[in-house]
Amino acid sequence: MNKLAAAQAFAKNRSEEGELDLWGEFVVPLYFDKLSLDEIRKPIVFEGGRGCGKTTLLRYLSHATQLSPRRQITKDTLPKQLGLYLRADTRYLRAFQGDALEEGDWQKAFEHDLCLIIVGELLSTLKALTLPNRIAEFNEVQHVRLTSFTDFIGDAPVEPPALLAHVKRMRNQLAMWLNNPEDEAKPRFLPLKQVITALIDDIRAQAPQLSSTVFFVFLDEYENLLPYQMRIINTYLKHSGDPLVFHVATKRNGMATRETLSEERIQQSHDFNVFDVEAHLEPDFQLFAAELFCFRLRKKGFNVGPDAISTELLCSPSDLAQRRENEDYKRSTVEAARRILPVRRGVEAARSVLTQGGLRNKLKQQLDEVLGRAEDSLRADLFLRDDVPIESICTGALLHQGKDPKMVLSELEKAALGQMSKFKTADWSHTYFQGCLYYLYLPQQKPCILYAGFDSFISISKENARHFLELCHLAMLNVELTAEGDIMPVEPELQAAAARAASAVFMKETQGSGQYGNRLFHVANTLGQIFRLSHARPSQSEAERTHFSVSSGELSEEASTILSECIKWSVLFEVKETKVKDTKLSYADFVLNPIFAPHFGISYNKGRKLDIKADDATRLLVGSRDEMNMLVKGYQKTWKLDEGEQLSLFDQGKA
Amino acid sequence: MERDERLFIDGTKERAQKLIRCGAWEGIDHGRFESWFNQFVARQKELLGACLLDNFIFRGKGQVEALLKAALCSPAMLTPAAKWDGEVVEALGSRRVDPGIRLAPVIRLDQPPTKSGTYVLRRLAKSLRIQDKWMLWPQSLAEMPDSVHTIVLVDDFCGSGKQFSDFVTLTGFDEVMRARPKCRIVYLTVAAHSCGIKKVQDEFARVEFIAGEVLTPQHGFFGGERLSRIKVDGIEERLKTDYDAIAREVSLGGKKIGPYGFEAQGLTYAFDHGTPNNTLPIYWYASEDWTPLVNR
Amino acid sequence: MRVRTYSSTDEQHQFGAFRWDLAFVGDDLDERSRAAITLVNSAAKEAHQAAFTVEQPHRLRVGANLLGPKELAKLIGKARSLVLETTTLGTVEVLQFLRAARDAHLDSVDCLYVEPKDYEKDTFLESSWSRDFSLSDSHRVAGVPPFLPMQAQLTDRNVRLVAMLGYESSRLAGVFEQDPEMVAWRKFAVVGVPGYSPGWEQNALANNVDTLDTHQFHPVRYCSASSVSGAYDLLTQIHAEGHDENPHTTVAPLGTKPHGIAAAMFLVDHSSYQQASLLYDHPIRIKGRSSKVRRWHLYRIDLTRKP
Repeated sequence: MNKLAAAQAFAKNRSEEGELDLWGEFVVPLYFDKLSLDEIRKPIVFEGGRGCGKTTLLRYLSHATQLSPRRQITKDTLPKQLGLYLRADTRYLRAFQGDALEEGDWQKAFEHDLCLIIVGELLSTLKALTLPNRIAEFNEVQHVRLTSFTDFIGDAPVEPPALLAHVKRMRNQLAMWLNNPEDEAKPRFLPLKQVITALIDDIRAQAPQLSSTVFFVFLDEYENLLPYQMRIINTYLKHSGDPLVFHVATKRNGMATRETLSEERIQQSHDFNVFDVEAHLEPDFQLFAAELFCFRLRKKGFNVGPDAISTELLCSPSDLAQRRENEDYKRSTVEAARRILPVRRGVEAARSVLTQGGLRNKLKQQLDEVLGRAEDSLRADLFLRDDVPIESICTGALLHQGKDPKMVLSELEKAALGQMSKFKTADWSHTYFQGCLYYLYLPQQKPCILYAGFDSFISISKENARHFLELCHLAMLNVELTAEGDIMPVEPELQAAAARAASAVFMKETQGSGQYGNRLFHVANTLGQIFRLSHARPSQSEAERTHFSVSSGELSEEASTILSECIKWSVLFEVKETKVKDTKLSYADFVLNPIFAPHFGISYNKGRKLDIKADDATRLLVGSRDEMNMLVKGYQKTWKLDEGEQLSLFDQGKA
Repeated sequence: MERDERLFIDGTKERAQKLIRCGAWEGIDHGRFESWFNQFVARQKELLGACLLDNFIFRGKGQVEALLKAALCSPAMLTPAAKWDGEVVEALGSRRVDPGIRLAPVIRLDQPPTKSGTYVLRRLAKSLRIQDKWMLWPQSLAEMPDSVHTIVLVDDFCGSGKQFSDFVTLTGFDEVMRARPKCRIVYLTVAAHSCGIKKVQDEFARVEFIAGEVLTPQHGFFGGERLSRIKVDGIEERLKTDYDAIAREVSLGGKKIGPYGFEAQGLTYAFDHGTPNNTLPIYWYASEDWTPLVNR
Repeated sequence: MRVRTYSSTDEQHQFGAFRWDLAFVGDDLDERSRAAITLVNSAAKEAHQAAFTVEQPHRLRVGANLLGPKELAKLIGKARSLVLETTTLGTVEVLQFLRAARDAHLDSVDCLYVEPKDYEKDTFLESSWSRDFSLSDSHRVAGVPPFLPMQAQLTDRNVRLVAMLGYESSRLAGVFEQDPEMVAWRKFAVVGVPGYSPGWEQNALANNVDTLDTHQFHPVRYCSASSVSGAYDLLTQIHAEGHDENPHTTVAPLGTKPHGIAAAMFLVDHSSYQQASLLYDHPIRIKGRSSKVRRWHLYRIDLTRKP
């Protein structure tokens, strides 16, 4: 075991980097039983942002994992639903349009392509059941003859392996035709539903082990489809049922249309259910993340977390109840993560701030700005008391709010003597401490210490396993081992630096977010700067801003599109105001993804809301670079003016 | 320090580290980079360090080869009758058929023989497969067959043009030029400064100058257009003050070159095989008091 | 294919003498485009505006008509000399025209390109990424027939990606979103060095370094930003590496137009047996993007030489 292994444990965290066969690798999420797979006959729309685990989940539910060679399967343990996974490939599918064919024919071409992929997956399922060590249990499967296929393609082979190769050739023929419709022969387009159901009937009839198997088709990245392709898939959703049920995975706002090929539209609840992956992760995310943390390290040979953490427990859906309900298990798992990734909050954080030259000086400067105008007898040093560090840190803001320095000093002394002080009774510490910390750290080289710790990572990653794992990855790069090879707690300063580095990476990544990536990046950047300015106010008279809403006015269509994209790509999260009945977009709250907080030096908790007028919001979303800069400068000016007002009020009071 | 500068400084530093890691700045040692930058941190002049990094043009081996190829395949190098861009390179790659072209290194006395002209010839041989049969020492140029129609004098950098003048004097090359009035004379460098090009062309009207890339006074760190792009008031004065302070402290550049590089061209340009002395010494000057980023 | 390049800072001196039967141009967006279109209009007997749109992947709009590959070849076949005004035409248009020219058995095609000046933007200290150049271009990845990959084949083959990089980092990051399988490919990047002006390539490098690092690209390769032959050589070199492993090269021309022309040449040369495919994000260009004229180039592509 070496130090590097600890970081490597978290390195590969994009599902694409893993394989299709996730058996023994995939930690079953704690919401898994809420899927009620055995009872599903209605399609599910899996919704969630990038990194929430949608794709990994679907792959787990598909045959490559279900029938993994690493798995022991008998006819009794064979899953009742077999998953067939496919991904909407943008490069390819966007070529299914234009004058080369009538629109109706494109629909058939698209269905044909899907059909071939699904048939391929179906045949691969059979192949998996005919592995040498399975032949005994699934003897009939190897004798299945798919004669129905010849009803559609007369000269097709009927043995599954040969048919698989044939289908692959057919896909190539389609691709060749697609590349060159003028010169290549148009293939015969297969009708998807009829072909697949016919094949399934053959399989069910000939292989008793599969006689009641239901086949799930999982279409990933639905949002990449063209509108007519969505209508086709919606039609499949509407007519799903035993033995073939379609499910899709999409980002939020990814279902651009509810139309089908007929006049009817599909409706939530009636035709499909939405499974919001992130919402389901939320209740148990802390435990889930801790489990991931311990599991990954254990795989690298480190002894972390309770012994119960194992592939057997975590990679099987049957023990979810135990994981969720066993208090000892939960406690020791989370504690294990907390031990290696400790926080530094409260008194500790305050103390460390006072011992660091740069931060202490900033506080002193903050105090001097106000005291400089008052009598000479009050020096800033009087307010910097190591015995009441939290309270000391709040004094800078309190003074900037116009409170009488002598009064604040006396409250400080009361607190130092253990007496009741306004720091408690007027909630000064509770209200201002965190904001003051962010304020002090803002211009510094080091990132705020509040970003450190397992619990902070949980808040910052907001149900996104990918973000969480990357935070761990960067934090673990600094790990040290004991002589026995155990992992020592990672210094909070290093964790905070890791958080900032991860934050910068994900900020940068927004540029690749779909069609408007560049713009999304600038929206996040501008918002971040505005929020940062609000944190930089020395008076902290209003708590840190981390979200906004659009007031007074409507957004233009263009701006609404960008806003919708921000939500789709998880740059912003929408939080509906519960008291407002109207569900128009403009009445919701929009939270900046907390993963960006460390980059801007702002809080990752839900702070105060910023009301932005529709005009300004439009500038933010679709304005030019100059307009965005002016927006930021506008806030800077306003808030500086506010600060100035506070101080002059104080001056007047003194006189 | 302005809070915005922090992001810029950290971002630039990180970017430099990534450039080193992914091979784009292959040849710069990571440890040296850290030591060099820490010298700015220690003097609380990090913004200067970051701006110097941000504007640093480093040409690793791969880039040098690309520049040479660009020069040898450029329309200026080809004859008007040439059918395709690679004709000259292809001809020089033949062992049997005499291409009528000879290459010779521009030799300098202030550099060891491993650098400049001879180094460039080696790169040409390796990357473009030019046969060393067609490469000569300058002294042998006088004995070339009359069928040779083009002489290419090769160097890595032409800054002031002085090296070329010295070279001509040292090797008696003007004799060769006089003896072969119809021969085309090409001075080819990986990179050049426009002032140097002008000097060479003024002094030797017959010489055709071809460079992989050309730097101008606008590329100087101070007084050029680099810093004027940064939208912060008085930034150039501020950086210059900081720079001068360091220059005084460690006698940057020594007496011969001075703190702004040879002829005060103040460039931010370096090769992995060596750095022109027209580049700001803050990048390459080595002494007890100063660790360089790159080698001279 | 081979290229003979002609360059000049003064178009009238050398370029004023060129004449063509047929010319295709794109949109007039700025000073550069206007200068280029003006020259072409006066030097060509017949000139048409052309555009490719993602909604019509099998067609090219020429004038008021949508033409398929055969019609395009027929139109081109009537001319003895052809020029593509590539400052204004997009990379896909160039690609389709080159393919049509080859189908029509033309001997050579000329490509005109005007190199930009003043491409730089301001630096804001709040982020060292603020070297990003554009704000509102939209980028949508979509395949272009006949250079679509045949998916069923790709999984078994030795696939490599060659991304030609430009100044906008978002473009490379964006195309990576599109195809998760790319993670397994061998990835190469080409950066234009020398750039149009020394130091410009720092922008291409700086803006893309994160993606290069994260996705473990092979060491960056270089060739002049305005060189078509250099880029074409690089593409063929990379494709030839590991030639006995049935390679497939996916080209992503996200950089300079000359590199895009080279990518087009490469694709047309390797369009058989699924050796190559195009990965492109079809940026929508905004008016007034870059401005003045730095240099004129004419690339004469000899179509008679086979690879």
